[in-house]
Amino acid sequence: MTGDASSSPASGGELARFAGDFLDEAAEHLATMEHLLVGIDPAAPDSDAINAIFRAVHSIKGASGMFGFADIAAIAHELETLLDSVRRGDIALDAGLVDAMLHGTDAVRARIGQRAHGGASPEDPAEVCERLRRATGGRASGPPRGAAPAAVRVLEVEYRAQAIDADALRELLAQLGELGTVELVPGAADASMRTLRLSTDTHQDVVRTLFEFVMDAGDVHIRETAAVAPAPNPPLARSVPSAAQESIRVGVAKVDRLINQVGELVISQAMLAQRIAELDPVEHLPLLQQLADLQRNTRGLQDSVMSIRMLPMATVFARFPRLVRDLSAKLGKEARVEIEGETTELDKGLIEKIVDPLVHLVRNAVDHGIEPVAERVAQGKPRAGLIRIAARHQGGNILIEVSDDGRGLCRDTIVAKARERGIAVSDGAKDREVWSLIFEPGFSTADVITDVSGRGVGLDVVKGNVASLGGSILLDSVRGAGTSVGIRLPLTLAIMDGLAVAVADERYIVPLAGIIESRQVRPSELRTIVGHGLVMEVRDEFVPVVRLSTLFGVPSSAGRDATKCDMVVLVETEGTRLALAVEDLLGQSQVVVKSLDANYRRVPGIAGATIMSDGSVACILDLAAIARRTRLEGGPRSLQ
Amino acid sequence: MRTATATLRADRQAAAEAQGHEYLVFTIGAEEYGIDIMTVQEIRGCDPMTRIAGAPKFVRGVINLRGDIVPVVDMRMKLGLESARYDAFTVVIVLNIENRVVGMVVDRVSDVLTLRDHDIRPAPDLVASVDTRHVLGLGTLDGRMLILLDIAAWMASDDMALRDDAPALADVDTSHE
Repeated sequence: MTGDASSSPASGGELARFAGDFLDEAAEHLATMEHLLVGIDPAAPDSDAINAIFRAVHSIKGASGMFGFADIAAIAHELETLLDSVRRGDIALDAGLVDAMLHGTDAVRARIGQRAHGGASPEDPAEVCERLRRATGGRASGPPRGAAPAAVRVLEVEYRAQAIDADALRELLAQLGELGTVELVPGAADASMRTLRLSTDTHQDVVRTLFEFVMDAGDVHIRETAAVAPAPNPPLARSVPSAAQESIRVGVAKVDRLINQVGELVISQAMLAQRIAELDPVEHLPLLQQLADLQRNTRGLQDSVMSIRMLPMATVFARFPRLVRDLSAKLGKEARVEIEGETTELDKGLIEKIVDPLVHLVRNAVDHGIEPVAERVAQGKPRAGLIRIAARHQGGNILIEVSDDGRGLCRDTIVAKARERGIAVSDGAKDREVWSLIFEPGFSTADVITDVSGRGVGLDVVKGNVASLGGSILLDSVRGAGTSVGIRLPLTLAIMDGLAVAVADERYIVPLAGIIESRQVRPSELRTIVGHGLVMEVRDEFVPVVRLSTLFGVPSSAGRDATKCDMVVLVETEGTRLALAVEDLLGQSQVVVKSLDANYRRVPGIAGATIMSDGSVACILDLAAIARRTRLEGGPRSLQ
Repeated sequence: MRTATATLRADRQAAAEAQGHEYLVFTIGAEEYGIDIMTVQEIRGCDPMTRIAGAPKFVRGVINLRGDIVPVVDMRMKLGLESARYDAFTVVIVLNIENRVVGMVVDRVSDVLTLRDHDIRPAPDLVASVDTRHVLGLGTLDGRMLILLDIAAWMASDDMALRDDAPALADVDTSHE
């Protein structure tokens, strides 16, 4: 059972696809196990947690056996044996055992990863098993190793003999043999039918699936005749298939198509609404009422469809307790993790892309933020540092914060380092501006390059990743008290709240997330500064005025007075404030974001486009790019 | 077996040669042009267009084509003539080239013609104002002369500036910081 079975009896096309599902599910079980193992207190283990870990291991063992992944099944079997002994009180849980089980979890994950993505061959499963056995010190006394799973039910499978040829039958029998013992029941009443008796702990639905790969559903009948021999944990074994029925797996492409189609529906509906608004309301009252219903329903539909793509932040956060545990152990520090808001939901596409930046920030917090134990004790801080990871909704955004109670950033070091690199920093620079320097390429204030962070990718990459998702990053730090990094992201990349503005005869969408306020301007608020062009005084700060008509070279606005401006939208992005001069505010709405580069190309200063309620196209501003350009040139210029 | 396949292939080639290729024929100014019908997705009137900042003059803007944002090229301007008239009679040929969709404003779409290889002569060095790289040849049929364009290659070329080949300014900016 410990042999490395890289070729499985289930290598046929259909089954291979199910094997893919198994790999996905196994990954979820592993995540559960890891989460529980990291959270467990070895001195007083929670029996619910032990049972849940046992269930997860058991599921992995059962399914991997079915797909012929004997190596995974072998490791899972050892884990199961160990957990069973703990559960029955035969051996006491200690930190060493938890480590061993985490190691076993890693080994299973490595093998699953190898199957899913290929790559280097992981550690020999026999060694992993041996290590697990050693960890128990021979105290574990589970079911004998290598034994077939205890039978819990007897299934009688009746199938039409002609529905399957000899080769397929042989393969099928081999697969059934993996699940339990198979025997042929002679003397069926109907000569064209055959009956097999299968004693197994596998649910009959799984057996049915195996048969339905090779024959029509109508050609096979399965019934459960009896449950035999009390299984070590029958309720657990049965709970797995029933949980599986509560959700279905759907390809992301299908969901995206659905989202696109609903987006179209919303636009069609809005165009219809605009037409109907031109009709006499008295005469067409019923029509207007029905339209209001339609509007409500489409909006509801859109929300429901968008929610399919939403996943809880827990899927990202789950890895951090383990990460911090391993990392702090490696660095000889003590740290604990506090997680908040793991149920906050975020678009799947964004979740996948935010993992790396967050891992980077958490690593930084442990490595550079949290002080060694001695230093903490000397300062009167608790021995264990605190890493707090929190997510919450804020307006149309999600705010994810990674904070630590460590040593904080040192302003002087950063300023010195910046000057060394030729970046001009005035002594009176605000803290906010100084902190933003550490997001510059190649900027690392760590005195030593450690194995953990500070090598290769830096915070500039984190900032770039976040910006590419339409988000922004903010850092706050107090010397000696800690550092907090906040990432603000839109909830989804597909829909955005925006303010439509008019510039001459053109319309643009300003992302609402970046807007501080939009208002009329008094001439007294404006100044012209040589080399910087027009600036606006907002609460003792001079904010550059960016004239959208100049920026985008709007032809019909040529020849207008460049020193005047009536209406501005004040925005803030990446710590920079800008006053966008526009001619009119057209109102705020949710827009479906479309890419320009699907059929055209990326355009500087434009993040994408959307379709307005009249069916025409309007461009969405890329505030970060406009701000960068403004900073770069010391004043607003045309992007062209 | 091998011979049979070879024969089949030869037969197919002969059939294709006998049937020829279909070209969509349109007019710009005084010239008639032909493009491979397989690149054409649809022909439609002109929807309201949105100008795109920084685009070349001949890229008149983008339209909403059933939810897709599609750029529109004014072929008259591309060929050095004055801009097309944009009204109810403006014709846009919507091309689908490697799943990228682009609209092309022409004066008039006349018909679909089938040309065989022997109807097509190599292009002389100078054909109207089109770079010869984008001309497949000259088609002659019943005394008409068509300039056959390699529209797929042309639309994908830097000349049309419809694709992201150079890094966008936004990327360049970051490295300056």
